[in-house]
Amino acid sequence: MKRKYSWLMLLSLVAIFIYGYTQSGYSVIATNQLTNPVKNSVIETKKTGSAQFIKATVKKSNAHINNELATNQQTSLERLRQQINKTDLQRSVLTEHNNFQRYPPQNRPIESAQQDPVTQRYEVDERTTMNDEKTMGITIWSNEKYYLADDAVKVFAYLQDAQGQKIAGQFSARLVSTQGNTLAKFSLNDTDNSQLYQSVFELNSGNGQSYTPGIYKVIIEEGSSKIRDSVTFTLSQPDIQLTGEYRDKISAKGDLQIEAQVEVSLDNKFYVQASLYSNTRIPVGVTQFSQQMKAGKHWITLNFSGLMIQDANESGPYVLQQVSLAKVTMPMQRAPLVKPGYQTDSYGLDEFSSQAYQP
Amino acid sequence: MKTITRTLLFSASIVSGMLASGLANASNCYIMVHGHGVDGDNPTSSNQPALDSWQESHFSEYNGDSFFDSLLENDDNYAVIGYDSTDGSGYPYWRDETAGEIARQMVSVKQGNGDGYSHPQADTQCAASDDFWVVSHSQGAQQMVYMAGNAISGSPYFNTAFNASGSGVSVPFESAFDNVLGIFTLGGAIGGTEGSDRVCNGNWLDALINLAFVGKDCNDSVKWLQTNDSYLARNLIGTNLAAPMYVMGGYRGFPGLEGASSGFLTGEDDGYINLASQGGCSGSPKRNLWSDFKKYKTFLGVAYGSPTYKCNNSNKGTPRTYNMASVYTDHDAERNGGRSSPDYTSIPDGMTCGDGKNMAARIKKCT
Repeated sequence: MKRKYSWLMLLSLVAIFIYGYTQSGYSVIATNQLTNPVKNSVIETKKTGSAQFIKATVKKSNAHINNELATNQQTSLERLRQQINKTDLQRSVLTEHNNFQRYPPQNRPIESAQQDPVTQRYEVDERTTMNDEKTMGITIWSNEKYYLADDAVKVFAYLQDAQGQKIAGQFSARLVSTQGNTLAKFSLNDTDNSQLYQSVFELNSGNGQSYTPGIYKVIIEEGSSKIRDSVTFTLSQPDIQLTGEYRDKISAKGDLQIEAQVEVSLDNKFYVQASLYSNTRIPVGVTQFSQQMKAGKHWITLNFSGLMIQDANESGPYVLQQVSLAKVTMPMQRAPLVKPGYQTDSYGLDEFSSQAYQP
Repeated sequence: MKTITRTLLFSASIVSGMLASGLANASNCYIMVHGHGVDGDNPTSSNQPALDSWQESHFSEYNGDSFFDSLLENDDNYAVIGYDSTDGSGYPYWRDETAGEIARQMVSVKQGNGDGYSHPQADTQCAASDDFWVVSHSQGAQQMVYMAGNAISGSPYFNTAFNASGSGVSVPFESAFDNVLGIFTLGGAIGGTEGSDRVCNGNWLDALINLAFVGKDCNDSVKWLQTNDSYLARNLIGTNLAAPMYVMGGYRGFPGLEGASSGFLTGEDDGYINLASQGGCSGSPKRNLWSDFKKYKTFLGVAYGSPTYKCNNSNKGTPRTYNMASVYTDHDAERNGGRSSPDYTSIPDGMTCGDGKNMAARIKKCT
């Protein structure tokens, strides 16, 4: 009877032997991977004349060839999941990837209005620079980050002591182009004795001077402390705008789709980012859209995951709270922030998909 | 019969257990992306600047130290990515020569082609079946934000970098981050550097530090490392990064030069980049943060009261960005592994794995 099953024992031992052999790192098949520099191809690598390099590559390659059936069937994430003892980073990675994979990658939930990425992109960059001794500092900002050709730029500054109290100062400034050329010089004035200094200048002065789209810098210096810093802004020519026409529906996949009509004045690639809020202004999530478009009117689809809406636990109607339109150049030419306030139908939560995203 | 059956089951369980453990024990591959000022795109067998950037130092205190000494253990592998981040070339982070080059090399490494560098450590080339992590320092972090932030369809610069004439070039960002478990940033210039501000605003004081790390010329590479939001990669990305990003900040001044370097930086810093930038915090990168990644009211330079701002995971300026650690180390030691057991400060949502270790060893302990 024992003999009847001895072949099975033998098989087990052979399996153990094979496993041990494949884990040992010894080579069965030797392959040299001495390759060429990466420049414009994804399959080339840099040259090396190192014997050490060759040895290391061969040994590893063989181990992986032997284990290919086992390891390649699993992704790194699946391997991490199988690990019994995980560090807090490994747990974070798994949780994070799980959360990320719930929705289409174009979508992201928004926990609070301050975290709305559309808000963040337009948030004014208020900058404080202290002197090296940290006894005085200047705080400067502009009223917007993106301007159109006919806009006026407002810049603000104040001087503060070590406790952050505003004190009297003397501010001068110059407008500098992307190439570093000084375009204008001016001073900032305290018009109401608030010790807040400001200046306004038109981008289109009407005297034939016009600036081209790009990043501009206003370098501001306080005379007594000699503290200097700069604010930057983008002069945009976005060539895209919302027409004010919208419509919405629930897609076959159970997602909310808001279609917005845009008017494009120049063939180019455009980027749109939009945030969805509940009717009570609770943030739900953000989506994005990017496409090459020809001049003319187009309907673009802003897709919000049904599961993302379910997770927000906010019933409809929903509000298209903020829309950022941009022409994709370097730098990106964003249009001023639009808050359409468009309200969808009164969808119930149960009308949306509760299925996780399937790529 | 029962004895034999039990023996067989036992043998089978051993085999399956060993196979399972084999599946769960793939090697880590750390993809190393260096910072500014490295002529890393044309290495030879005797000149490997990108590799050297992880084991050289600007300060004699760290002579002989290597990031890899603290990073590697057991079967760990690494791959050096080299790109041209020199002032001489002046390539911004969105150029084909920077972002495009890094992406192509990452893809090649993940295909199991090796990095082409002669590693001082034997048997450390990555294989295609490894678990991939990206380790980036300084400008490398800005590179990662731009690349990972444009690696998802629908992003503004999806799979796109730019050439010298300003035209878009198709590059493999999406493939580069496919199956990457996470991105570590060490002293990352996520919010730019105030050193670049000073160079480009024309009030540079000609200190040694900037000469070592950025240079004195406001070339396009330096220009796009300023802390103004207009220049930051976070302003040029889509809704999501293609992989989660874990930030580590340093808050120690340079050896012997604390006053010269940290004096002009806002808040605590690693001698070159302040914590608000390294932490990828929301709002102004010039925010005055203490080593616990929080901002306080101050009186005569002393913080008091409850924090007025916390750079926790909910207050990041980029998506999928998470706190890892705040370590008492400087910008040089971050990348050469100097200071093996630095002090540290607990931060909101930070990780405890690797506490008491330097940034390289933290990665080792945590992954």
